[in-house]
Amino acid sequence: MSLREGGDAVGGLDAIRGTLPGARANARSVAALTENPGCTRRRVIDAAGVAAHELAEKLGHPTPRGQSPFAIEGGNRFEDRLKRRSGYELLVDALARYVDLPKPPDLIVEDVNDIGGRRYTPEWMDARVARTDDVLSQIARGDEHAPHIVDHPVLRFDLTGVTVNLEPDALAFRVGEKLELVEIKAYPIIDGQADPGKLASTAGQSAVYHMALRATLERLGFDPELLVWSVILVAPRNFGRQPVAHRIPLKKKSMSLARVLKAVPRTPDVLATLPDGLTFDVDPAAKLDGVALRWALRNAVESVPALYVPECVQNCDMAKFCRWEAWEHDDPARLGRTVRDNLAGVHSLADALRLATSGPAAGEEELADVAEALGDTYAAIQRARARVPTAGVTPPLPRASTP
Amino acid sequence: MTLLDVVMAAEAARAGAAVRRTAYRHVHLSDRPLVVVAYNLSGEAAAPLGIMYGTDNDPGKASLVVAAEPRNRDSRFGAINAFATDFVEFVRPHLILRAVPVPRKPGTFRQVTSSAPQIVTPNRATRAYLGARLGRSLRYLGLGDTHEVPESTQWTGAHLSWFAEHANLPGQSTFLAMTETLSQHFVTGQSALEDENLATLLAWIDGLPGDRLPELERLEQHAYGPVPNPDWERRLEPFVRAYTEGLREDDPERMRLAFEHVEREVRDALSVAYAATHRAIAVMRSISPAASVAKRWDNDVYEWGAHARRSANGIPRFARRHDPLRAAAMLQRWSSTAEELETDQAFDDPLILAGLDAAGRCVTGDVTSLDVDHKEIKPGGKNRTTVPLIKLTLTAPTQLLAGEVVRWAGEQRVKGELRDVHPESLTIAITGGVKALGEASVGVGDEMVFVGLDPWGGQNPWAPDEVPWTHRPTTSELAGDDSTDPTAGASDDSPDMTVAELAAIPIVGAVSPADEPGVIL
Repeated sequence: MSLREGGDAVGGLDAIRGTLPGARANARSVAALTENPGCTRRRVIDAAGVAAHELAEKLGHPTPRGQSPFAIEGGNRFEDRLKRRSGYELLVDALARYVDLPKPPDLIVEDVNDIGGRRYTPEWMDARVARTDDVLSQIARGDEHAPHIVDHPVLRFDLTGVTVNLEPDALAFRVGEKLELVEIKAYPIIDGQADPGKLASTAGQSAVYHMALRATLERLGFDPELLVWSVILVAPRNFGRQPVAHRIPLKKKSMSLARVLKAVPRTPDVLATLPDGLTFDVDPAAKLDGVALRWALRNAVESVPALYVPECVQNCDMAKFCRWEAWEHDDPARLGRTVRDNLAGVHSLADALRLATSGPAAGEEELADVAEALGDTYAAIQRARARVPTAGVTPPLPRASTP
Repeated sequence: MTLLDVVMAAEAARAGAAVRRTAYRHVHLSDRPLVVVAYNLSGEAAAPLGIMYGTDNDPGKASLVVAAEPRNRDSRFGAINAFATDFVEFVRPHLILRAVPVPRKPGTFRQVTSSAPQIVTPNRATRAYLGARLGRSLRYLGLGDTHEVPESTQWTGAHLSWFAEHANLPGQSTFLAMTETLSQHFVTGQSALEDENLATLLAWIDGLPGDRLPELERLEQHAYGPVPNPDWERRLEPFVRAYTEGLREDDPERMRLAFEHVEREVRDALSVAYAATHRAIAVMRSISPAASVAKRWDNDVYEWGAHARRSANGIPRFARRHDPLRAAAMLQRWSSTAEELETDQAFDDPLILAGLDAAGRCVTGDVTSLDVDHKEIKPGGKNRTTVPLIKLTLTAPTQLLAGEVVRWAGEQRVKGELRDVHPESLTIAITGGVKALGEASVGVGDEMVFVGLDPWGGQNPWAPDEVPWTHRPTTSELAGDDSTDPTAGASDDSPDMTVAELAAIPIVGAVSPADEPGVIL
């Protein structure tokens, strides 16, 4: 089936997934998508609802993704304590610095988890999305019975053509005032400072929620400026279990994310560039043996270009496969984003070394600039090495007997 | 990554072995540094499962402390206090003060130490964990509304806090992280992110025979701390639980068995990290030190001396945050030290100089004529002084322009000015260090390298005596929207859980990736 003719993007996506089990977008896949929006492979996998983790495993490059039971338990316990176990009182206290909410029993809480129906079914999610819409309308209208805290609202959002349901930890609303996005994390804030890496990923995640909330308010016909341009992070203070709240500004992050997402081609346009009849369901009848299956799948996946950088390992379940591919092709990107950009047009590290040592070959005129820079650098290294002959490529050091 | 790194990384990728980034070692190594490796319980800020430490490179001779349930105060401090006792013993000889005469001030003396302790961790994360986390969690204990702990634990908090702070000083060698040190000295064929894994970094240095990536992936599985491998923690969880149940039921035998199991697992895992860290030290030791390493280590000892003098009057106390004036002064010192370090290393090490050479900041050439008696009146001067003229035929390209100040790579004191710059030749007028140049007896035909670095030779600029604008409170802070928490520090914020709470923790099975919180479909 040709995607170009019918323009039937949904049909194309279904064909890519075939009979493979569908996957739900999760926090990890949204992060993978927003951290590297230029990666076609990730976009296609998400849009088609293919489980990236299983795909990588079938390719022979699974991403180890175990989570520590202690970390999961600690995180769940912290959130549970703030909410249910204290009747939301601890959360209200922590937020008091930024939002003045009434204490229980005057506090109105809408727990969108408690919607009834069988959990994790599509119907349940639809009901939660609808309930969230209702509550948001109530809030935006300034209804005096509007809830002060919306626990785990569900926002349906179109992320570059991939429909995802997002579930922020909470929304806090003081009737007649602004709507605040709240995110609960279990990493500590020590003397007012959190780990910068974790904070950055929280901000990135919250920026997506923020976009989704604005979009939802607009869709419902309200002014999105009701939502404050920030997220209130609630996390344990210092080494204990007492919560502390900090306001994290989101305006820059949210707007730059919106710009980036606007700049990437829409998913249907991306699909139009893919080979006809592409499918990741290469063996629906289960006839292939392990090696043949792996090869067939590899060919299918490799026909969708990836934009690999080493940081992908932190977010994306396909990263181990893409890393393997980058190594197979000796792709400069395996050294990092800056190297990939500095060596634009140079397809392998071996080529880079050849350009450095012997300049561009015939037909490589467009690489003259990068070849000259590499050549000058190589000459400088060789001059230096001539002054210290022992410092060239490392002479093998005596190996340790330790493991 | 600079282009120099890219070329070297391409060489490393082809050879399957790391390439030396430097000709010399730029850190000091003590005879017996203390290697510390640690596992922290995931989900906690500072609750060590185990710490292995020692000066002997045999893990069998290293000390190990283990907390089988770090969320329980007795268990946690059982391990921390034992580590603290040994740590204080390790530091003690370096705290001995002796009086030395102050130069150029007859009759006055200064209290100094003869040495400073050196701590080595496998990676940056462990260094940050030990200093900023564990050190910070211990240093206020015993004060105000906090739990009582032995004095050696408070001392350890103070010492670790000093190390954490000093670790920010560029070029310091008292608190080393081996991934950082090794990647300063070697270029591998993998990314900087992957170089943070000591196991794969060492594999590159030892050379990777055969199929490299599968071997590296196998090595990546082993966690060198402070975060343990999650699957390993999953296997450990039942034993931590058994220990807690033993605690609740007051069943010492059950506790002992669970403890032994946890200890064995932690020992096996940490031994590998411990041995690798010593291996990294051995790799570094096999490289001869650069000329200015001794000077920087002297400064480390000098600054440690200030901590030792404070320690003579009792446990030194550290502020949660520096006041703005101190923070500004410190930043200024760190940046001037960073500049000085860059210059010193460039003059010490031709391979580091190559970075400047590649950027066109060097003049390399053969001496074609030498006029050592040339005299001229320097700008602002009155008398004719000797300004030797050196004419060079360039053997490498340069981007420096006429009038730029350069220094001779062979001797920092020799300073000159570029004149008559042509693509093939130029003249350098020696405006400083004429005597040093004479002593070096340079002749026609010799190769000379000058570098476009002009380090500040005088005293450091004065530290600011008023708070610079960068460090003043913002308008919103002045207006009262202060983000500092007035109640912070009222207690020691310990992560203690009662035995009943520990027992109430639900058993967490394998969580499927789809059940991660945040987003659902």
